[in-house]
Amino acid sequence: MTPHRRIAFLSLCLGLCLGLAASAAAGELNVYYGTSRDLFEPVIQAFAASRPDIKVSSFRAPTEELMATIELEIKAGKPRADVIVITASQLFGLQQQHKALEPYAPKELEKIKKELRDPEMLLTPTGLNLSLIQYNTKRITGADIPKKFTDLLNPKWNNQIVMTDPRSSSSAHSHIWFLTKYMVDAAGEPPYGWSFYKELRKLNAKYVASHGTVRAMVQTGERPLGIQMLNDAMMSIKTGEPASFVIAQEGSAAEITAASLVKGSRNPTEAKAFVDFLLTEKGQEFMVKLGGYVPVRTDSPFKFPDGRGLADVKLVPVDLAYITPQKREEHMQKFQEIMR
Amino acid sequence: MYVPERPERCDVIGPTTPAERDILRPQAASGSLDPAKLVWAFAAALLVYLIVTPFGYMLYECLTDKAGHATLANIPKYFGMAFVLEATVNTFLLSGAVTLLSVLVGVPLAFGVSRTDMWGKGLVRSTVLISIITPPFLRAIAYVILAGPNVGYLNQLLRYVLGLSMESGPLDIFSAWGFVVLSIPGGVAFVFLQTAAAFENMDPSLEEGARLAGATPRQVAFRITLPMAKHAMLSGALLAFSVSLAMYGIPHILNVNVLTIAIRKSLLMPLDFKAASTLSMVVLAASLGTLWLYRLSVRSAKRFQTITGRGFRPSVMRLGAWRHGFTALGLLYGVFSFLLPYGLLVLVSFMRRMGYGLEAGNFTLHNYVYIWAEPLPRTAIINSLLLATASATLVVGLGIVIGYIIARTRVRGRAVLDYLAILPLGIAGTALAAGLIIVYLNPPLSALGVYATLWILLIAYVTRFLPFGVRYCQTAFMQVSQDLEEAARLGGANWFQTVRHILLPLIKRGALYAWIVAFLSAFPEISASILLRNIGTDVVATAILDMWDGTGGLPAASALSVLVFLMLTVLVLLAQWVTGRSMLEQS
Repeated sequence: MTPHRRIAFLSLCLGLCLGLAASAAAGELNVYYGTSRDLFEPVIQAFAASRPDIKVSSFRAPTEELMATIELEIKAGKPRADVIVITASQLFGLQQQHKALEPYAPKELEKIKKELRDPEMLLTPTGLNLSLIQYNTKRITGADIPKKFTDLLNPKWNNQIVMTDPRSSSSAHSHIWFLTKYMVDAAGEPPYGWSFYKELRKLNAKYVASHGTVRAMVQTGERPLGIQMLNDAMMSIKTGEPASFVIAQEGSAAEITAASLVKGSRNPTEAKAFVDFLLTEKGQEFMVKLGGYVPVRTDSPFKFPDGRGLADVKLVPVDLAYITPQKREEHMQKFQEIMR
Repeated sequence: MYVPERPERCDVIGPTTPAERDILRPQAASGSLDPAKLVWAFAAALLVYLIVTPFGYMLYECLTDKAGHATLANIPKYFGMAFVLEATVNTFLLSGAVTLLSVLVGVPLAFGVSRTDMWGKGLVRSTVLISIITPPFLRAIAYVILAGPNVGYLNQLLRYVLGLSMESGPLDIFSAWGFVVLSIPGGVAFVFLQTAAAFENMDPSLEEGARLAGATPRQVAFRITLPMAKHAMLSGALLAFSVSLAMYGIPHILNVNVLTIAIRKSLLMPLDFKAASTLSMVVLAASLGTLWLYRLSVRSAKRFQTITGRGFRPSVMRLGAWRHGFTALGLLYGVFSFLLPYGLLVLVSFMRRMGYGLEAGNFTLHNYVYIWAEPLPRTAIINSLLLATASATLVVGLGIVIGYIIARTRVRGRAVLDYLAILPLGIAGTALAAGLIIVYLNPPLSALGVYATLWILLIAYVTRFLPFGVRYCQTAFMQVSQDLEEAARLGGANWFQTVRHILLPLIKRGALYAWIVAFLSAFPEISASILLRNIGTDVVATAILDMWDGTGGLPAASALSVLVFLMLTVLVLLAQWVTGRSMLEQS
């Protein structure tokens, strides 16, 4: 090395060390969330813009990884999140296992649909994500478009269907709850119940790790039919991909996404302000337009892309008490037995 | 006919009796505090600390029940589960296949590129680089588009060309076959980097001797050149095997049930650290077993000393018609590991929407504008640059010292260092990350405050890629004849002078390879980062994943990866300028 190069190299190393040292940062409100970054980050930015006095930091990870992070932090007694926005069943699990959440009655509580409110006030619903059928509009048209979940069992869909693996995706449990519990209670087994999945197995239905992968496979037509969630299906529509969706005639498992305050967090006041913001008309508009969620306020306008309203479809809120960790384990085992 | 079989015939300079050798060893300087020993002790302590903190904790979790009592029940408990058992079998079969194929492809390529007049050397070298840089999940996504059974481009093409009437196939990337094919590029790269360095650093006098004695080029290759590179080949195979044991991105996308996937699932749905630790320990045991076999087979290190006091310059072999065979293999590797998947990603990065594929009007520059405008890619690139540079430098620094201790000294317990240094290879990054989080979030180490900063990522990266540093430097040291060092010592040089003026220059190439491999592996690291990242500490791979998972979709993710690839190329060129040496090029 020549002296010049040596100096260049040494200063680079020094710079790197300083860079590392300066990287630690702390905010005045830490939001942890599990949905796609560009669906929720703008909502957080809108809040930050309305409250310039608060330094807002956010952390996004896929729901399953986020849960692991949160649990590890809680177990060590060092929760860094002030507010967690994630599916209600996951929050419910956190509360059951770690008593990790702090109750809060948000300002506009009475505007939230009654059936969605949490009697213990630990969870504040912020949006609904629906279980549905996504399809590729180039490959499936007209009368072929399924209308019910049972339409998926037609032999012509051999090698065409994709869904998520309950061992990797937490929302997969919402579909499973709807098809193996709710529909069995309503219409019996078969066609519903685990025999529904046995039929899917006969059609070589593929299962993948996340609803993002389901979306990608439906969009490209590799698997033109998918058991999907609303905000992923809405994302396909927003980006102009050849993929649309139907809410099945049987109904749709409505998975509640909720915000919760974390017990022992450093910034409870700011966290409350953020939860309140999510429930304002403006906040709900963001959740619908950007997030692809169904609003939780009774007075928020909502239309599906095909022009139908909420009254035209049947929504069934997911039974939080049913999807316990034990039930999840049962789902995984059963699913594995049938699908492998 | 005289054909020298073993390089030690060349060892003619220097002390000959054991007593004479002992005098020359640095540790023989008793009484006074030897500064060399301090360096060793510090490096060894750091290695032990890095490995033992997370792995010791995981071993504890594996061997205790929920109440903390010692038990072995966890192992049958978790391996009794059907999917775990299946995952274990799959893991070993698939990793074995990947390793075998990697050696079969990687060794001829390394030989061809470093020692023959084959064509397409640049393509092979670039492919090796790319295979290490590319986050495996990106290659997997590219191949899903290429070889997805229903609408994969290759399948459509094959059906059209062959006139097949079926609607699906003939290729199915979602299979064990897919896992192997997608893992080979990386495996070949590791084998290539190890063996190419060995071929290039080989003293040609043995080969020349054989040629003079009348051996044909083929005899020379099989009886002299390849046996001398055996150590490097085995080392490369060991890396390839361990890396595919810990492979995560590919089976995640293809949904192939292997242990890393089982570990992630047990870790995340719901968090069961005992299950994850127990499964990890099995993978670790497999890595250790492989290393043990490897150590058995290279016990006589002297056989691999190919750099001696003689002047050398490896000769380039004229292959004649064989040249086309090597060229074809190189082309095959280049096309399937680099040109096809990367060509596709570049194409996708200009697509407006995935669903419209190659249709006219579906092309745009918007994805590049989008990633430029977003703050996330910038933060991620800066973080990855910092982390990759710092971790590669630490990895090589530690690798040189530890490699020296293992290969050149008789210090007691040096084998332990070797085993410890291989452990991280066999572990799923996610499990390591969870272990680190637990260790650094709880007292006493919580006092360091590294959790949720770049530091914990740095610790994870150094731990994960330490095996590269130790293996590459160790291989390099083993090739340098002890006589050179001893001659310098006899000539009055102290240990530091010997290391600085004799050893380091001679192992520079090996160390450089190690740095490049560590840097290029750290840059797109995903499986540990995905748990360890926190506010403001996103890295390139997590950013690509978030892009893919967002409205930008695969086109934006591809644009970011193309950008990252271009940047790394520039960096490699820049590094060549700074070090004044050409990387991955023959001297």
